[in-house]
Amino acid sequence: MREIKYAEAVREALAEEMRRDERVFVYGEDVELGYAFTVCKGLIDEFGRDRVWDTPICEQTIVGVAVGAAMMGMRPVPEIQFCDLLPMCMDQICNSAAKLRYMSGGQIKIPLVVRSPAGKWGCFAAQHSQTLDAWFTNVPGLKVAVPATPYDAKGLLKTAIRDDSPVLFIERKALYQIPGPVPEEEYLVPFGEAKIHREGKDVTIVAIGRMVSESLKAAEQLAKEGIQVTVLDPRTLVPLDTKAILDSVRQAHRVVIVEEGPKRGGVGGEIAAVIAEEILDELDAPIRRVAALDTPIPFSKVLEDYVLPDEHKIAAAVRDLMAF
Amino acid sequence: MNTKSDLSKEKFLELYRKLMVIRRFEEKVDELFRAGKLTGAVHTSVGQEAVAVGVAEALEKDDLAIATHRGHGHCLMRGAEMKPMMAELFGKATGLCQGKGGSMHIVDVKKGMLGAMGIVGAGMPIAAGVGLAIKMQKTGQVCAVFFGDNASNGGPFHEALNVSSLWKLPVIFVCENNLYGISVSVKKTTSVQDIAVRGQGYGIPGVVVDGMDVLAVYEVAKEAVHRARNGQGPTLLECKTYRFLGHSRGDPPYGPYRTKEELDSWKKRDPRLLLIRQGKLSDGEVEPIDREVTEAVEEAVRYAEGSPLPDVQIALQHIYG
Amino acid sequence: MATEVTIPNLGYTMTVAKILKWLKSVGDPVEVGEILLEIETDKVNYGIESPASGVVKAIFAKPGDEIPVGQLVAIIGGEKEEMDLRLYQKTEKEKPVPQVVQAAASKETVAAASPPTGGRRFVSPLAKRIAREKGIDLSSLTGSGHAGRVKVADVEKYLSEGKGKRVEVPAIPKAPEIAEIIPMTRMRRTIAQRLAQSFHDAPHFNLGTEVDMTEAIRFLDQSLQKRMEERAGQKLSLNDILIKAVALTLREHPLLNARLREDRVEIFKDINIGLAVALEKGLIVPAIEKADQKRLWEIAKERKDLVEKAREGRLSLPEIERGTFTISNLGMYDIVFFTSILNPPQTGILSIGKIYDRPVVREGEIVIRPIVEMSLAIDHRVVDGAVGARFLQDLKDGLEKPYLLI
Repeated sequence: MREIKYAEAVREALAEEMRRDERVFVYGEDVELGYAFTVCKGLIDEFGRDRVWDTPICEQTIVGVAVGAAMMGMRPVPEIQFCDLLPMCMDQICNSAAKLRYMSGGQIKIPLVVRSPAGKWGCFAAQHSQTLDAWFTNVPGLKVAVPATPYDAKGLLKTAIRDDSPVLFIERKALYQIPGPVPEEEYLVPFGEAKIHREGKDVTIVAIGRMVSESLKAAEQLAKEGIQVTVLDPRTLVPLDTKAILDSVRQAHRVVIVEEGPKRGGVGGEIAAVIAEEILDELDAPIRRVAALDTPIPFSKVLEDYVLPDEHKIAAAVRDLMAF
Repeated sequence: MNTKSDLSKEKFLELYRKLMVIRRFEEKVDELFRAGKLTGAVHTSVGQEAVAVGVAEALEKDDLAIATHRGHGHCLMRGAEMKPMMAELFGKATGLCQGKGGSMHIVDVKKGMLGAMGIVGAGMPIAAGVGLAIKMQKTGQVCAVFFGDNASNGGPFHEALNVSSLWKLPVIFVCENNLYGISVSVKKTTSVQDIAVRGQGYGIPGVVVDGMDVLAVYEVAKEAVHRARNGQGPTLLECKTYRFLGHSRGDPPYGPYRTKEELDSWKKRDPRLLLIRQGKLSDGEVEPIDREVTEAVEEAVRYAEGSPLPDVQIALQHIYG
Repeated sequence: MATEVTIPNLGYTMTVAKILKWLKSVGDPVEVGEILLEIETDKVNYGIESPASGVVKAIFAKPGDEIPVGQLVAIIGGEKEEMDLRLYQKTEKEKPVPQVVQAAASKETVAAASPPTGGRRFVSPLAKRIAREKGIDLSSLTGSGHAGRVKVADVEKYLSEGKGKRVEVPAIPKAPEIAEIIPMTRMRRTIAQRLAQSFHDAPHFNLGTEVDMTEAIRFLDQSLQKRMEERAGQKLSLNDILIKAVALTLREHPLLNARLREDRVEIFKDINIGLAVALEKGLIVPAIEKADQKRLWEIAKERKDLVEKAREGRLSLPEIERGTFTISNLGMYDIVFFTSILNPPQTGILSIGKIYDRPVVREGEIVIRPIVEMSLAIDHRVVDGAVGARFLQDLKDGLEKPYLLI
């Protein structure tokens, strides 16, 4: 199978959906040249400025416009250049997009997708390296997708665009240039379906986003030590494939949850609570979370590496569980 | 519709009736709240009816409107029926939003009322989005978005005006300047005397109009709608008006931050009285309308009171698309 | 050349020992055979001797700790020996590393890492569940996890070794050897505890009598049996007549249908006769409600139903708890006479032996009659012997002349 980069996979999804449905359009800051992370590069050549265009810096209105257009039946896919800027448009995302359908008793539909990259890039510091997945999983009415591979990025984005609900599509900057297998033929990845990248009987690792590849590296190392781990990628946080997670933990009896956001109040807490509530008697050891430290992300590389989770910290957590 | 002098008696009575629909509905809602029969928050627009009536008159049936938390009047003017509106305020299953939105989020999509927005300023970027869709879909519609004086001081106003002007969106920005943002006078919040001048900052026309005069509002609205529909982009209308009741239930019409004198001086310019004078309407012509509208409102209340409460299962619906 | 000191196994019921006191501290010299520490088991107190001569290098438990059999409590080593005590820890991070005193340094008592204090055991949720499903008593498991925690691996190890084979520590030469260890089930422990308490708290006064069952057996004659079966679909037995007779007699002697509460006697409103049912796993006593008010065939039906439920483990708590007086019958076992322990909080219990023909004297003649010996145990705090005697006399009369019960 051919391999393409994550950024290309996203671009292909956008292009294919725009070809398929003339109501789909893409806009945001620097999208015409695709200047930030190359994702939207070249789209304007095929679709023109009527469907791909640059906006002023006005995140709140970028999303507000998407809400209004979606209400009228269009399918906007705005890009917010860094997920750190999503707080600027919280009102439109959380109060308008997430709630208007509900408050109107079903009269309104908001089929929009807000795309935004999260995670570290490499010394981009505290205001441009965050992972804010957890902020949005707590807002009923929003769906949240967190693809970890080019295959999933393309398949999930197509599903997101075709979904009639508002979707937060949170990509990972550091993965944009990483290639992966992506079929030529049309395919979709459904929401609420996890993917198991690797199976092992001793510990289940639930990994999100860039942490999937880190977990796989840890798994290789652990296998040499005789520890076999499963790496499970939920792919979407809302809806969450709870069944797959519980089924896996029922086999392994030990679980580590890994995310790139800070530990306190992170997605790991929610997943851990679900596991403890549902299958406490299947656990042979406490549930462990590996996440970023509860600090803003520092600039200097050595500090950034210290704060963020990686394969070594994941492996250490697994070893710790085995010995507990 | 023709200008003032050419208007027929029928037209005046029609406008009068529309104004009274808002007037009586709002007065009734206020009464119900004070009697404890309605819960939550409600923001009445008694005194500001001329803006809703005037702008609505300039819109076509297919056009869209977005309003604020003080949106009952706009919803009624788009053609929403009183009974399901009242039922929504009562939180009943027969309400426009099945009891899930309430007063601040009244929506009647079929009538082109995309919603009252509860967050100040939120409607404007959304209206820009509506305008964008209209342009893309080439339907020739326009979108009117209503907002208050203090909303024109927030980020969304400026961003929305900018992109609407930039992309020539068919939006009419209607500012209802009633001189107060809850308890705070516009003098304390707004850096300009006339909000309309802000249009200049974004390259669009800004027009000041007497918001108590239905016909005056209609005139400028007509012009703005025309511009929008012809691809000339947005207009900013500033309607100087005044609310006769408090900001919301529990807020007295005068006292804490408004003087009785100020209120009385504005009451002399009651849109209802203005319309009667302009149309030379007699008591004999006006009273039957008053009675009929009052009775219609009473009937809406009876309908709402007699309607069932929503089944709790409906709380779990419409979360996603 | 370190030598480990562990908790020895001193008896077939011993699973844990409580540390009473240390007679040596870290850094103290010790000779082989010297007492290092004193422990308490559920039976005896015991001094553990040092297995080697040298210096106490480390102590891993403190007075009051409950340590499982086989677990490490101290290390004896050479005076100048340096040792890496981390080798003796299960996990490094959570436990504070014990302070090892080198030869030259002062002798300090060590604030050592220790398993959970106060006897609290930590067991993983999964291990707990598996143990419960397999009927393993948690206290018979040794934990290999952090802080002595029991994990699934430990349960699996216990199961694979076969119940009861204690591999690690040799038994004391003097005690008889163990062939098999059967952990007490919860039911057994409950029975043990309740009966011990009953025996201890209530002074049992026992009275015995003989009853001629001729009339009772005749009462239960063939035609009555047949009629009962036809009408109520129910076979009667002598047990049912016994139950009814006891219940009716208790009406006249309410003090035997009572319980003692602190300084007052509470007489039960209903007469619910409990029947002792022997199951493989233990004794259970379901009760027939308001037995004095029920017809014979109703009693028979309920008795059958309760015994069936008892055998299938389907009894409800009310069915067990509502008894006010108990009858125990070992007649099917050739037991002629026996006494029972009161079923708390009841005041009386009747023990019925085997009915069999024997020669008795009636009107100066030797005749053969079906005789049964019964004993009544009463709580002497509540009633005196005479009260019990009068009850037993009325019961005997009632059984010998059933028409008296009407």
